[in-house]
Amino acid sequence: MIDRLAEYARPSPASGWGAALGMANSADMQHQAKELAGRATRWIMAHPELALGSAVVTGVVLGWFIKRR
Amino acid sequence: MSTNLSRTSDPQPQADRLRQEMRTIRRELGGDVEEIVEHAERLMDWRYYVERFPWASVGAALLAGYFVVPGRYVTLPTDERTLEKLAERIPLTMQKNAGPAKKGLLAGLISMGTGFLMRAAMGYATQQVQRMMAQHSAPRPMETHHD
Repeated sequence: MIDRLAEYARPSPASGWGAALGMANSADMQHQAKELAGRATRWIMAHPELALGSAVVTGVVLGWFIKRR
Repeated sequence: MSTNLSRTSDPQPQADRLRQEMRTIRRELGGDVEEIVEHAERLMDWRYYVERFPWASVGAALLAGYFVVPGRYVTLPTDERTLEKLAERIPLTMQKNAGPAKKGLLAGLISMGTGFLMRAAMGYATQQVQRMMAQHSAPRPMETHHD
């Protein structure tokens, strides 16, 4: 997929962006995104402690970088 | 749980039916209580909420982590030179108004006298009110008619 995008972007970056948007809107891509979201949801439900712990850590890191730096 | 009690002339079948109904109620009550306890335990378990609302729970945890981090403290320099510079920048009009006004001896005496007068006036007013109430509540003498 990346190789195909690189080929589309070779003539001009705009054509590359157009190809990327077209791919993102394709039914196959949407199906893949839905599948990924489903897998992530199942992983959260299977490992709640890990999911919430990593979310808290991510929030702390984000807060640290936004508020303290 | 139905309490269908009908009046019958024979007390023995009625008592049996009552006993049967009470037995049924006791059996169902036990099951209901167990169900309520199970439901309450499930509601108290945080994993239940994660299973029910996975993305909302993750978002809430993310926000909690974000808000746990305190803000940056701003420390101002307190050395003499900086404070002098700051004092020079403050306009004179503000410096004139700054600080509480000092009370003189006369002002203290006046405030003390005013307080004393207020207390005396309150005491006098209270006495008057009490006297008026006593007059109103006193029993009136019986009026007699002499023909």
